[in-house]
Amino acid sequence: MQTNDAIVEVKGLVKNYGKKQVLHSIDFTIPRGRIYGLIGHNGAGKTTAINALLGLISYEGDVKVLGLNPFTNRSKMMLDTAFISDVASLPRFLKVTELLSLVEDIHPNFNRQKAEQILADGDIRDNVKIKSLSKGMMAQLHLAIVMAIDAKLLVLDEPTLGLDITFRKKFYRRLVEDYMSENRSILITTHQVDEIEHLLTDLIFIRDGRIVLDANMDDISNRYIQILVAPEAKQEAMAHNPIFTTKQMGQDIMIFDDLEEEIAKAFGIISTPSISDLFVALMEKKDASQKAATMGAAK
Amino acid sequence: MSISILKTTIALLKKELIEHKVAFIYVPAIFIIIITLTFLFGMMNNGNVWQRGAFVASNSDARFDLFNFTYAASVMGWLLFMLIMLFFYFAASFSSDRKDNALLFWKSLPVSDLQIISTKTIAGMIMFPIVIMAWSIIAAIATYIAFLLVSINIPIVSALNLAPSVPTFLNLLASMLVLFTLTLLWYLPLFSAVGLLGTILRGWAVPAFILIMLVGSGVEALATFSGEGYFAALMEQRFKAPFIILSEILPNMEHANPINGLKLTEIISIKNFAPNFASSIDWVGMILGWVAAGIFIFIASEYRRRRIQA
Repeated sequence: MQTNDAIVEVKGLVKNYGKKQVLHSIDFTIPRGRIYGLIGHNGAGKTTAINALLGLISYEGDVKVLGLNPFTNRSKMMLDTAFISDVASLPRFLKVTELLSLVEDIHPNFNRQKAEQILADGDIRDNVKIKSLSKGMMAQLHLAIVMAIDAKLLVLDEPTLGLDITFRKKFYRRLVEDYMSENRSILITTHQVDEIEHLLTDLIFIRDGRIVLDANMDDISNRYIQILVAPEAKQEAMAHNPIFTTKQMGQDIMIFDDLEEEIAKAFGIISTPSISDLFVALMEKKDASQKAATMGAAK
Repeated sequence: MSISILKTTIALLKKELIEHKVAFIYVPAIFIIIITLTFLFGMMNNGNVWQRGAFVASNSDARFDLFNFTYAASVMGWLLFMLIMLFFYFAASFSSDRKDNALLFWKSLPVSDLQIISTKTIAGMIMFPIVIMAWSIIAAIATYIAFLLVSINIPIVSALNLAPSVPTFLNLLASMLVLFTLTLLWYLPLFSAVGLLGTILRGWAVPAFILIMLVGSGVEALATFSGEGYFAALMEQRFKAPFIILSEILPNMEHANPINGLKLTEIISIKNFAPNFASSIDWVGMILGWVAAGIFIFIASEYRRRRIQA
């Protein structure tokens, strides 16, 4: 990967709130034409990392978005960057049409016609005040505006919060079919990971301000194996140090890191773990290692 | 200024107008309607008191320009209205984008915080004063029409010169423009100071502003054992200067009334008013005020740049 292909480059990103360190020198790169999922528990540092990328907060470290320092060049960077934050809302005193006109006048890369086309699929009328829209309709309007911006980087922090399943599916389908291109990159965080699993090209897991996984989906499916373990193979499978074990309907399920497929097949039915299973596995694995470290120190 | 910055500024000004239309559009409109209707009602029921001046009708020299007199008489009222509304506008508007959790939406647009705060300042210093001047003219026209309606029943009114004098009006308007502009520029540091407080304290900006004035003067009085310290004097000058100048350069204003027929052009002439008003201003204080305002606006924009939550 050449550096100039990168939309986002983060090196040694640190963020402190007072004495509390929220991000511990994290590094990652988002190349052009990729859809990244940034997954973590509440308070893991996802939103802080995104806020740093968007120049909304000060930070230590080297962050470049589209070749710019986001904190010092935020307004310039926003010409080619669009985002929706999980806590963002729209100005309620405006009418829908007034908001579209405002964005059209301010943002040179906003296509009003496209926004209106997206809105035509819903029930939002032009001449209504935004304050009269339901939470879901407001989210639809916000998404329509964001998707009508010809941006090189789209950052979506819990974009479908409050939306019903139909619109969520429609939104993600449109995101891939109409919006995504090889010149754009998308960074998504959501708690509904199963809904975006099929979209993602890459995955970053973050925990306690540290990145615990940064890999593309092909590498993940090659590296991690989930096995529905046959009862008679349980002891032998355990000997290969699964990173995660659980039981479903009385059957053992194990997730392995870097286990050869030929060996895995001998233990039971193999598959690629879902993002949510892998997330739980890696989070628990870290817990275990922390516990071990603590226990070691106690000795 | 590049075209895109100009376009963005105009769009943000439109947004400010929509957001604050109650204060600058609806309130003056309601105010004018109430005053005009009350005046009409009063004249219809108690207009006979005007009959006492009926002799004026026989003396053509005593006639005066009713339209421009009405307009001139309302100028001080509009100036006070404008200053009060703008004070509260600045106190609220610098932080108003945080309303409804919308701050991150505004930050998602390619506009810097400094440009947004500067545009709000432009709205307060140029756009809304123009709106208020427009309302003052509308109010004068409404009053003029009210006089016309009243003149049906009350001869004294019809005896006055109801035809507006365009040169006098333009002269008056130019003087008013000078008065409003220089007064606003004089008050700019106070507006931006309350704007900065609003950015940080939101709804507590006005009480905080008053508290700072009181505490500043109080501490100074304690330190000097007098109420005539530097801060108190500076604040007194900053608050009163334009009005003191007005009272000094318009000594005949109190004699201008419909009965004695004093000509308005003798009282307010742009040729006399503008140089007199401008020369009475403490220009060093004015320029230092602009510097202070620039600093306040910059600090407000930097504070806003670092805020991400409502």
